[in-house]
Amino acid sequence: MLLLIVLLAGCWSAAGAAGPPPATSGTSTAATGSDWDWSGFSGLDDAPVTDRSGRGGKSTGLPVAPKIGETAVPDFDAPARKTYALFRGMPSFDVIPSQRDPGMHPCSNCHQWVLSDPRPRKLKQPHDNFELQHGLHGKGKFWCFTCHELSGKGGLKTLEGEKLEFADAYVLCSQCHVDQARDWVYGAHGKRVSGWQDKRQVLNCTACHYQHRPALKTRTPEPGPRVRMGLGRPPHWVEKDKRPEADRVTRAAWKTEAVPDEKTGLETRPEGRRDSLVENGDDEKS
Amino acid sequence: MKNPDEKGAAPPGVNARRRFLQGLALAGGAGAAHAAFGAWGGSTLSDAFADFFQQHYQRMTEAEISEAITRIERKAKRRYGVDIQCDTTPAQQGVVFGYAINVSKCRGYRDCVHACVRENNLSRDTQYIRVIEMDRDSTDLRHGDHYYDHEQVPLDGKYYLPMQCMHCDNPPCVKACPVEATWTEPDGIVVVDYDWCIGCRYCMTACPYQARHFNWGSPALPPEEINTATHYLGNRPRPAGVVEKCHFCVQRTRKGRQPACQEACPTGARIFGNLLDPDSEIRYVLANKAIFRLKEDLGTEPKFWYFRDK
Repeated sequence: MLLLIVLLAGCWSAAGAAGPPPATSGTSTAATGSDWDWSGFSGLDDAPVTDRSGRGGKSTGLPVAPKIGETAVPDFDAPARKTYALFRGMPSFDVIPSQRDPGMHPCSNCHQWVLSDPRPRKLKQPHDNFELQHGLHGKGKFWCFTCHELSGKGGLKTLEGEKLEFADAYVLCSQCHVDQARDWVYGAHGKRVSGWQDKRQVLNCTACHYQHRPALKTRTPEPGPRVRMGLGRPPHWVEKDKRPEADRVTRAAWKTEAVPDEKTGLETRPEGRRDSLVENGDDEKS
Repeated sequence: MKNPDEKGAAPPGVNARRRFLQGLALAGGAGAAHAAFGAWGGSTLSDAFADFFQQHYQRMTEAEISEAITRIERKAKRRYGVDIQCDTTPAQQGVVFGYAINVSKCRGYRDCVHACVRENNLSRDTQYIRVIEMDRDSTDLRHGDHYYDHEQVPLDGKYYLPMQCMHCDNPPCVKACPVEATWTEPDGIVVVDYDWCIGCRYCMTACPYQARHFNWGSPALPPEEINTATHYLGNRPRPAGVVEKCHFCVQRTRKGRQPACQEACPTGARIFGNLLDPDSEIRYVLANKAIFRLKEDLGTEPKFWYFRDK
């Protein structure tokens, strides 16, 4: 009995130290980024940049969503994360973590030595590589530590102060973007990367939306269909203003000038096209 | 443009005529060979005969189907030098496929179009999916443009509406086909038996969505880009002179995978799933979103919905 009490107390204190777990995964919050595959990074300096695009080199067997703008590469090697129950009756599905700025992570690479400065200010090295353009963030309403945890561990926190891992960023997003979160949970928003029959695996919010500037960028489209015969512009059609001067063909060029006959003085209008055919003269000579 | 006064490098008349006659003779011979050896070209005589007597897909026995499959694979090998695997995976029980597209999220990148072209061994001048650029606050397809070619998409004041085969529950193309070469499978996919199609193109005129495409010539396919995982009713290399169309990537979806267009969509605008599964994403969309279908008044009952976020 005593043993049981000790065990229970141990569990309780461990859970308390790790912060109140939002739902299921008490252990994952305590782990220091164990869900991230850092095998390619020995440290910040001289770290070999590994190809994490998922396209070249290693094949994960899973489809890879193409990039949009500053899309983060989905980390198919990391284990998919179970989702927290954000909504009632939520079907269970897995979240593929995404990875962005691998050189900057984990934060604890630096922040185990360097204390975070909580004062809002203009950012300097090495945090000058982004600008907050996330709705109200850019207008000074929010600051880094609205979402980022202040302690050296690195990670995120909700508005209520619950600690989150980067892989659980969708919990953070869903605090404000409730409609999108609901759609994402039930499947009307976001990108499913598994087959329609397999267990549902979806990309995290940050795979498509860069968290510090979530609006998607524009992009050049892939080529469209050919214009069908008779349905539209001819293939050599060039917009009027963009035609080179020398190539301009006016109607006058197709008309032949009226030439007065030397003997009679009457104006005749030679048929230019007919003439050129005759001059080629294939039919006549053969 | 050439000035008509300029003299082209016309060949001397005798040679021109001789060449023309030669060409005529060659063309006639080629035509005759074409007729004798089927639309595939390069077949052996036995294959050509077997092709000629091949039955409709739904009336073939197991043995006949497997023979037809080996013939298809052999011809692809001979023609493209590629080993393809053609399968005939049947429809799953309790599955009817449906598709939903979020027009708020489609950004007109055309990634789906080209993923489809690669996946389905399309002739490189054919595209099953047409992404139509529409004026905002309008659903008038007459003012849509699917030839748009901007530097950057999406444009302000436009939205993008991808169209492909709607896999209607009441398909006018199936009714139009005089030889029953196209039909609806149990999982709702409208398929074509390319070997049974006579190329009359009645289905193309019957389809109100312009979803069907005709192979005017032999499909121009780079052999190194051929997708070797094929299905008899899906993406196997097609002969010239038959009609083809989107088949919801039957070679993938019957094995639980997503269609190529869904997989390629970088915005997640495309949602594919089983309409009979109440927990599927598409059922959530149909139940909770403002959805519409194209040309609903025609009564074709497309299994292809569009919805908006707001």
